[in-house]
Amino acid sequence: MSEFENKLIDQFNMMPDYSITSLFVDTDQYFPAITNTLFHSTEQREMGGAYVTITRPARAIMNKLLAQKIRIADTYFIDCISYMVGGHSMASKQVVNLESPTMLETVLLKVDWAFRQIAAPQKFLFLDSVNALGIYNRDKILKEFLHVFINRLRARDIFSIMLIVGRGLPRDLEEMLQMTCDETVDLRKKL
Amino acid sequence: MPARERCVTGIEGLDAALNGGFPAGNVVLLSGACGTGKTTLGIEYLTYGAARGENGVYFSVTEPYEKLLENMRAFSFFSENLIEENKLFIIDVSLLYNRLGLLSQDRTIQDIDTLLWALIDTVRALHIKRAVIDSITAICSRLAQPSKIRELVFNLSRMFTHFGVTTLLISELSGSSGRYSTYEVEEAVSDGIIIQEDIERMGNMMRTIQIVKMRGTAHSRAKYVMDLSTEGALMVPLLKWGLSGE
Repeated sequence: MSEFENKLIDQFNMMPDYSITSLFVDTDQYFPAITNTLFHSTEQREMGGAYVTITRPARAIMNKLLAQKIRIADTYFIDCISYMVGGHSMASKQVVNLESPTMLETVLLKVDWAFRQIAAPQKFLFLDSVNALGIYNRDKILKEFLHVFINRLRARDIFSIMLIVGRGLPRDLEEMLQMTCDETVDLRKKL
Repeated sequence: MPARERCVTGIEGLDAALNGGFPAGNVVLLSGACGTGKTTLGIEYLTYGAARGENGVYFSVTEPYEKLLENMRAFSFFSENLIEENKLFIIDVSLLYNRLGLLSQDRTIQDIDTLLWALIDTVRALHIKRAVIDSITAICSRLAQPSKIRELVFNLSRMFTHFGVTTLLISELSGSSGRYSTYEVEEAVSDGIIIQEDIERMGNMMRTIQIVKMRGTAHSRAKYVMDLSTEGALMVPLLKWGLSGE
């Protein structure tokens, strides 16, 4: 297990069940970050969850997780990218496809839908990633969305991870995440 | 002032925006262009009531019975048992016209009176508590004397309210007309107005819904985004920067 993964697991073990965390990682740690987050949420905490994917299609994420033998039977994927890039959207009861990552209100509604499907008593939310949402949405609406989203999750006591990859996030958006999330975990290498 | 009895729609976001549902007995104009979700909303509203002992009727002017039923079957909240158990009724108004001998394409006010009384008799005989007329625009469009439209809508609303029926009058609008109804009289005699429309954000269309007016209750006037799934309508407030996209 890498040093990054050990640090990440240590951080996960310190997080309370109902916390909302912004997780900053380097681009080369993207896959270890998602596999460890899912392993920790589904296997360690025995939660069911909603995985909002903007970075990569749900099919690619699911294949990656299944290859690592991570249990995702009670995880529902809100795929904001497959439809838009013209790829084959996945026909699965666990996947719902959005036409575009600009339909931010629909993301909120589909996450609500996912939470209704989950069998486990405790739920998690994984947003992958804030950066990818930033490609398609202007700063003002993205900040408003994150503010609304995080507070809806807080009102429902959902264990939530907001993933930020690399260093491209505008400073004020980063500050807004720090202000609204309970924890900020920055595992990026020091410059 | 005692609180008005509520007619819970079963659409979570809408009931929240209405502070518990439509005030019972209200006649509500549900306006929007085609494809904005008016029919789905009407079906969900009736189905929710019928499953809880409030008989409902769907007067379909524009769609034949079988086609409408086929559309209903797609929703997980719909059960055909409600029809078999005489809790939910679908009435094809074109068949009603034929049965009443109203065969001319242009209706006189007497023809419309005959239809009006047939609708009222149906509501009384079937102990209806919830009604949807889809659409009031289609009924009015056949009226040869447009000046009588106000009288028709007024009488229909008054009688349905008298019999304790909470009614949705569906109004068809073309695109973004900036109006609430085709003839601009329907809104004046309705207790409530709900507008459904499409907005475009960066090339994608999203359905929205907004309560403009509702007598008998405090209500939200915010614009909501509505998502239609096989499980029914879901609503969430439109993001404030969502219209300008800045």
